[in-house]
Amino acid sequence: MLSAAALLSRHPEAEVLCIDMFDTISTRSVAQPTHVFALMERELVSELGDNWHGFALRRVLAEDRARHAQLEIDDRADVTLQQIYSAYAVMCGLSHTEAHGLADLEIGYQLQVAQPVPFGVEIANLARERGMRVLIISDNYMSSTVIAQLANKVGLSWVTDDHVVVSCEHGGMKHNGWLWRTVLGKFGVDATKVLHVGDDPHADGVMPQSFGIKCEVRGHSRRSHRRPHNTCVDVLPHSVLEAEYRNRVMADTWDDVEAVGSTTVALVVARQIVHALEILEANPQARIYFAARDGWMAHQAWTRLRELGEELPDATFLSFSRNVVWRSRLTEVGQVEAAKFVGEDENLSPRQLGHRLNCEFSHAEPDVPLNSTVARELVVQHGLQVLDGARQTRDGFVKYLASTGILNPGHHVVFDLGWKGSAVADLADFVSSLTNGASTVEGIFTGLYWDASAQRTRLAMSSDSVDDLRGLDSNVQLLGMLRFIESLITAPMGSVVGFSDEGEPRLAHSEVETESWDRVVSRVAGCAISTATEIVRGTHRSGVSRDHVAAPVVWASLMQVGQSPRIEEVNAFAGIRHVTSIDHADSGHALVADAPEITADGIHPQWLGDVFNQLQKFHWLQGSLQMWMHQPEAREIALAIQRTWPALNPDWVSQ
Amino acid sequence: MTKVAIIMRTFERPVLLARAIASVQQQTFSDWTLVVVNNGGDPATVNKVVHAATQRTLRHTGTVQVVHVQERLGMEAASNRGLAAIESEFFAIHDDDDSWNPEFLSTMVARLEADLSAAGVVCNTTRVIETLKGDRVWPVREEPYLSNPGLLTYRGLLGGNTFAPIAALFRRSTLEAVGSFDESLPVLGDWEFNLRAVRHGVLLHEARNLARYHWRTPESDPGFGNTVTEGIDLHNSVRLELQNRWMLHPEKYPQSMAALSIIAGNKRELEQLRERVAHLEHILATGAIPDVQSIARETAHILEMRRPLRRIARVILHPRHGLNVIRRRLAR
Repeated sequence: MLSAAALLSRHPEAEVLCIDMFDTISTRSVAQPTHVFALMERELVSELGDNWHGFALRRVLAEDRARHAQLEIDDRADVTLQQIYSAYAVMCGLSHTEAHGLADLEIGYQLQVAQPVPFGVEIANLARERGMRVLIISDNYMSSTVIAQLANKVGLSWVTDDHVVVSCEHGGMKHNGWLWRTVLGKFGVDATKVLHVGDDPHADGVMPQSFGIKCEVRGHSRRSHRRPHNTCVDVLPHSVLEAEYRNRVMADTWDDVEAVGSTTVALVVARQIVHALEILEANPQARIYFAARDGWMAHQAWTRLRELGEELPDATFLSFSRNVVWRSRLTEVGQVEAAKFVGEDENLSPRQLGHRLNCEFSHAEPDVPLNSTVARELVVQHGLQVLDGARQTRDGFVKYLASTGILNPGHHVVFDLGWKGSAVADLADFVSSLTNGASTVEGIFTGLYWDASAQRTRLAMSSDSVDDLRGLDSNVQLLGMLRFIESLITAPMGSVVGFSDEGEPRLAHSEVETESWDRVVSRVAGCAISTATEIVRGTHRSGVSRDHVAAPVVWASLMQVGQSPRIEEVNAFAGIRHVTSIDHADSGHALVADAPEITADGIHPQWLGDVFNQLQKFHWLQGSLQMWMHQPEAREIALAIQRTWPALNPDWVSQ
Repeated sequence: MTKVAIIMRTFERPVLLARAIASVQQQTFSDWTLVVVNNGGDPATVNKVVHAATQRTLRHTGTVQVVHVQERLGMEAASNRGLAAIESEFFAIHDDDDSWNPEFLSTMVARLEADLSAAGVVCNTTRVIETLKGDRVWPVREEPYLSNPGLLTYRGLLGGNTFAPIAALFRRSTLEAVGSFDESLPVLGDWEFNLRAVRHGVLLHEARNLARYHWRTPESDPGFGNTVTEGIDLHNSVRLELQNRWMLHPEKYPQSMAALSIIAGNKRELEQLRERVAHLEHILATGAIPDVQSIARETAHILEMRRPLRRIARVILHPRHGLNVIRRRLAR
């Protein structure tokens, strides 16, 4: 990429430098422009009370309303900050004085969050030193005075109102071309002697070029904006982490995989650790276990914190899976048990079945796949062999559990990403039966859904994101993104499928998951573990610390990426394949599903229901919908699903 | 003395009980005592559920007590047994199939502490329609079940109960002033108590939606229904009995109470019918995903109510004639 000096030297004829303001000269310490309103809401609620909850979203809606009203009057002109807050005042029954007060508060926050973009500041200063006229051209609702103050704050101390051409003061915008007419006409600039630098390919590229202005568009770190309506206080830690990542890689290449690892996944991992610390504060005698592949990252971060000198007790990584817990507790083999081991939609050969159940099945055609009914019948017929294999698994598992300390009398807290909670409840029952109740297990789940009710009768449990006490919508939302979370919050090794005689875990090997790990997930893990460690220690550059990592914050972050992802994020994770079978032995499913073809019958409810169920069961539902939205042939299906299941609306912050 | 006593009556519903206890344990307000009244069920099952729940170590939660009742009592007797077991400043009846949002107690206690004249406070509610089969329970749909200050007045409550027990928190002094729950009533004891309470002090309205009132679908396993949905005939007969009682004992109750209650009840049915018609019109007008069963259900209900509708209209249009009809019916 050219330096500021080289860029100016490439245009020796230029006598005027026009330069865009936001994301070219200045950026913010929050990820999205609307997140400034969330900062305001936080202060308003703190100072004035609960009535100000929802201010941020109302502020976004007020701007929508003001723009809509402006379109009726003049479709070329931009709105002003005063118009926006007048609309807010009308919406919420405030006086003009109060509306002015809010506008001033916003200006204060805009100045507070402004941060320099080094290249933009450098080229503007350099151009001025070389005697060029510099004009800041911005599509914005704030006045030229405020824009000048922002420029002063980020390092352009010489900028005054006269250097600023802002859309809300000149009856036209960059993106519709009318502001360029103003620049060339009212400001008396010769198009052939202008160089414009900005980040928007259309407003800073196509439009000025159509007037004969030479342009340099530097949008390499530009990303599509998240939906403005998803603005609330809980999203701020995610926002600040994302902004820190964006500003750090400003001169480099934005990597969506690293960005998600440094934000959402890091927050989940940090929350697991903070949650464990809260438990230890309440019960210092409890022992902490991070279970299964879901707990690997948190265990890594915990270990790193200890290495860095943090005073934490030892925490154990617990290799377990529903497969080994189910088999260890097997005492009889009937249709119910067989159904647990052979999924309704699975076609397994006798050899695969034997591998799954740690025994051999005699069959004339050991490699021919059987449908689930026949396979289950085969399992029942070989009940004795299955029980024998289960006994071996149980013996190894007991040795392994003993080595982890979970059989020692006391209270053991197991962290799992969670689903129904049944596997941890089975583990709790197993441990309790082995120790005659001397050892108790409590489950802490980052994600959990309504079907967990029954486990509560067996297991003390709590969940951070969703549980059976939350709304139906929240559960639909979480189920849709569960595969996404599972795929990213995982470990380099496969799931445990058995134990050696000495109690060493035997791990599954899946080519597709190894490939996904090597190519994508390892980068997520690296960023998540280091960011979570810094958050918990309070050393992260963004200022986000353990005090910020509350359950609603993690939920908001999951929703921001899992429910309403940017298309760039969907593309970044589309190649991942995730294996859902209990022995992790099949070829897996792509995280982002291919769109089905619409049949001759059209999109009827039954067909749509089948598509929805498949998406929810095997894929990242919301990510797939986002992808389909960008495909003309699949857009109708995505829209129909969103209409039918309103919980999947990408605007997830409720009014 | 604990700040809030929470009385949870249960009988042989361990899955729902576990969920209900969790909803109490997740409260951000921690000065509470939960009294689980095992109303004639297997003590071992209830103990197991409570034991699993109280293993929790995470938060500084309140305490849980269990009262085992050998012979199954009526609902109101079970409530009184639970209340007798604990002293408190406030109390709530938390049925074993319902749940609260974590901010329920903190919000409701703050409301009552800010208004010492109030007898209780009632919040807005979400009605959760769910299916329960075996040990699985899953939500099918949710709908707002809203209250408003008008529905929480004596006049608003006369026609029938306007809120579920799960939505309310009462001051204990109200109970002491108006007396405990009427153990002679198999159902509607909460309504009868609410009517006495609201004559003692106002019921505040909390606009936040903090309670979840769970209803099982007809597809659910038998025995898991709500008293409201499964005992409609019983509700009607107990309502008649109560109205009769109010009319026959003018020394205890205001003379107009029974008549006003009947008129208000009829008016409420009329409003519910109007809502159903409007809902049906909405489905037909918006072309929402066709749900033939729901349309058929609504239509059948409307047809079923045509005759009462005419009667209700007559009563409202000609109150004197209506009162005579009511008197004659009660006399029969």
